[in-house]
Amino acid sequence: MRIAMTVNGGAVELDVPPFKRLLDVLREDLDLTGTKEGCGEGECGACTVLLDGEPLCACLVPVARCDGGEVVTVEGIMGSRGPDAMHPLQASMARLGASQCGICIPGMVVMGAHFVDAARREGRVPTEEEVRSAIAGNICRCTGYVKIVDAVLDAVQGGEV
Amino acid sequence: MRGTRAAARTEVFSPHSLEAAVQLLAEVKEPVRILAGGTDLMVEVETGRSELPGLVLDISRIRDLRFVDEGDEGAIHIGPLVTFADVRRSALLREKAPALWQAAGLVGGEQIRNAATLGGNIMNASPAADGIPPLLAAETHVVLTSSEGSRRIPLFSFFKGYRTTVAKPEELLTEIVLQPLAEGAHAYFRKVAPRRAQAISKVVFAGRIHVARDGAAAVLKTARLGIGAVAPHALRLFETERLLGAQVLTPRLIEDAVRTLRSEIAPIDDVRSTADYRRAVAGNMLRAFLMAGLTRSESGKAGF
Repeated sequence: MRIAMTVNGGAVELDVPPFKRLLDVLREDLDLTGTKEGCGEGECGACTVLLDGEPLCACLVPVARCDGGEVVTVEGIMGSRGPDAMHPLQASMARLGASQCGICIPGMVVMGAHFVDAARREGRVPTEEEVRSAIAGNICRCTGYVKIVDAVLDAVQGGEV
Repeated sequence: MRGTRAAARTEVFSPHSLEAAVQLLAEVKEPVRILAGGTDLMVEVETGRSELPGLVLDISRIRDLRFVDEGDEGAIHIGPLVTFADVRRSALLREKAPALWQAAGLVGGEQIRNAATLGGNIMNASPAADGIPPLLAAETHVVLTSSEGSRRIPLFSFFKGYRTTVAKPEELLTEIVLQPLAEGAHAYFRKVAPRRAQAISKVVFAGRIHVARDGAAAVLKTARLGIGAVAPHALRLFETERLLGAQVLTPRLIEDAVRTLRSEIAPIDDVRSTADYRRAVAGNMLRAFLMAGLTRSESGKAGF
């Protein structure tokens, strides 16, 4: 099936089986290996990407669903503030040591950046509980949540906390 | 080979109109799977629990199936492609179907709520579906449509057994019609699972009661109760409702109701829980709901 979509701002056209998972298309056909496979069942959030602005698990999206759509992966979050510029959340995570083994981090970055951008747009500081609830679909098996939550709150407040 | 790759030859048909979708279902001879949000189907296929047939009907592009409306007659009409995230965004559902609104917030995580649809939750017919007990308590009907026309079925008689429904292969779920929470009535939702997000329920319970004061007594005018994960499919608890209907709400009546509920359900031992635990917890949920009703009514609040 021919699929035309936008990935991280660039137009992409592919001929792939319609039920191939977006996760596999990203990693194998587009060489975007930042997106990781954790559970492959929508439980862990490691493969979180944005499709038309909404966070989804790329392991649960048949690529046919993306035809005409706009996909943003962790690689796209990296460049979203200019070439090679980190998203404020990435800067906060790096500074606060929010990454341990790293497997959950691409998903955490996509989900967290989406949340940070929304909070900044609305001009309000979320509670810790709201942050925890926003990343409830992202599992960190190092259980390193405290620093991740701190980094999200730090990024919402401009990284100067 | 993993399932989604083995499905390399599967064709996907993604119509934009309901007419084209039901036409396809009417004409096609081979088996068809229907894809809405994909959160159940993709897992089933990937883990090899089921194989994709040669043809998948992807209904996700039919915009007319994604709506939440208040009908002239007061009922609430929901399109099957409404996602759990949509339910959370609906002020109407928050006010008039609060148990459903609460349940929607406890389904998966945000990634799942953005994809998973209420229609998919019903058609997948899992006994542990969190969306179904609140719909049962809201006296929901579902509308099934084929190229021949539509039929309306009460949700309590829609499920036939474990993951099976009365829907025919050529029918699509096209509308979910529920009753709004009555003025003065009270809704309840409770899910017991290992953690708050991303967890499949051990027991999931929803109810609506309407308590009225009659002098010193609290009279339970109506009770509507739905429960999941304690039988092959989600249940409306008719026997328990009958026992409670039009009775003076007392601690003794509540204990009778708890006993009736425990005999009305048929839980099993499985990987997530045991029959004994489920039976105990299901009764405790009903007791907590009814006791709250009694307390609220004794504290002199009008209705509740």
